[in-house]
Amino acid sequence: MAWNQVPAAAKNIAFKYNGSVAKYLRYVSWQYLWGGREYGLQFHDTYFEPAPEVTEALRRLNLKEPWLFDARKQRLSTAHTLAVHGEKLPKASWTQWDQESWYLKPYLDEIEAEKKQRVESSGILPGYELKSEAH
Amino acid sequence: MLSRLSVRAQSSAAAAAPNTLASAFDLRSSRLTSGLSVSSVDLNQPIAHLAIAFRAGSRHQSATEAGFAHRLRNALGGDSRRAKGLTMLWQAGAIGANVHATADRENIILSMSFPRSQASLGASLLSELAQPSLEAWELEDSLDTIKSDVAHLSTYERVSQLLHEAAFRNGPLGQSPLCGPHNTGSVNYRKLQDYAASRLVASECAVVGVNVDHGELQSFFAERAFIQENKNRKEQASSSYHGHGESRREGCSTGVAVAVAGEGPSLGGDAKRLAAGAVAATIAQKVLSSSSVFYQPYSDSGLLGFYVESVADGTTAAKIKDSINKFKTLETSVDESAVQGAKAATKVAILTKADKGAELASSLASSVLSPSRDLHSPSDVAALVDSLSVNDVKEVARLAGARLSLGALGSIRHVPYLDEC
Repeated sequence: MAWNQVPAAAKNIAFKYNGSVAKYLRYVSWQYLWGGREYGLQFHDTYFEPAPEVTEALRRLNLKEPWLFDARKQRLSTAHTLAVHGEKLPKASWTQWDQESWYLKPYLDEIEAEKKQRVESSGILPGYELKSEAH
Repeated sequence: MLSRLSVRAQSSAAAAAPNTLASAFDLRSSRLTSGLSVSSVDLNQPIAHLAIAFRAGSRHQSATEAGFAHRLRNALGGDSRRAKGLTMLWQAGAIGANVHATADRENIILSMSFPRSQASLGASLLSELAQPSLEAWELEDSLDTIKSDVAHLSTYERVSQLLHEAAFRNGPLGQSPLCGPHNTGSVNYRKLQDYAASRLVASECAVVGVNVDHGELQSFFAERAFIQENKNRKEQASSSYHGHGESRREGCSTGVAVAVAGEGPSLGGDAKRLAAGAVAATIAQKVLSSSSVFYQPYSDSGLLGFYVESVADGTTAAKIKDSINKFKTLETSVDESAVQGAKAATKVAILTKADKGAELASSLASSVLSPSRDLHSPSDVAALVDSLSVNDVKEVARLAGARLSLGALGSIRHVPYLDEC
């Protein structure tokens, strides 16, 4: 069953809720409640970029795995061109479940852990939030 | 900032006497199976000082790793694999400690001072801080500090680097402990991780505690591998003193700064020569009253010389020539009375430094990592200074004045060449 199988591209991604129900809901949401598949996108391509956590995660992705960042940029560029022309990919080219890699998850997890530890220890804002406050 | 090497030199001399334990100074040392050295001395003071030192200074950089020791030092205090850096520093602050990272040409030292009762927490924090993960985003954050360090270099440090280039040429000791002014951009984080993985290991590490219990410290580091081990042990590349060279750089300044040095005793050589070097430096300071004398022993070589800053006018060249000639003929100034006075002053300096626990921890840590691998109490070294003869000091002074090197910055046309003196 597709929903019970971990996507091949997301082998090392750990979710907080990973039971059968959670996996089923995740699959169904990804298939039917998200519109990125028909443009060839990954789910994390359409994550809300202006959020400080996501901005920082993307910055770290660019520093550590720049090839993933470049691939993301290419996918977004083709998807944008398609959307501008009012087109979608043919169904055979849509993103499949086993191609989905939740590539920002490790970075987001680390940022959440840092936030939690920061609250527990000093409460000092991280550099990236300080900079955005200054502007 | 980088510690003044001339200040460290006195205590390096202090730490290289023959291997006798003085009962007045309860100094204990042991080596674990992983190669980690654990040493401690208990002065019965309420504040404990802990220092973790690695052989990760600029002399251990390869040709492609220029500036890595500087970057590593500035990255210390960041996240490790298991804990966040901010949390660790905050917890250190909660026990009243500030964490200091020092880097010189041979070692990188992390040190902390805290109340005696917090020894276990302090040790666990410091050992975790000593294993940074060096992720790409942390290095980005510390880039500004690199630029700031390079911009705030003092003239002495600039001239000292020129002198080392003249003295040691392309050898390991000629490498600058800081990034060069044109190399302050970002560096590949994986290369820095490789450098840290090869240098911040147990076999290249010494842990020194002042006012901590030796047994507790030893069992703490023995039970778990806080500092990772590395099976491949790289031999330290030797750096020999070449001398007879000059490194002069024109600077936009109305003054001139000059450092002249000759070969001094090394930490790996005879301990008596090291003590004699300290005494000779004290004598030289009296002779060259307008300059400041520095004495820097390294593991396989050393420098003994003087540094002078002056305005550049008609008399500068003659004054500098005079100072160089006085240094060349230092041996003639070494007589019985000068040696007696210098011995007393040197002993006071050594024993005063031993009173300050934080400095004692750092200096003992760097002396444990020196090739002599013997840990000596300051009272041993003071006794060694007492046992010196005039000829010992004359010998060191003669060698220092024999083959000179020069580094100059500023209006260098006022600085005579060495073969003109």
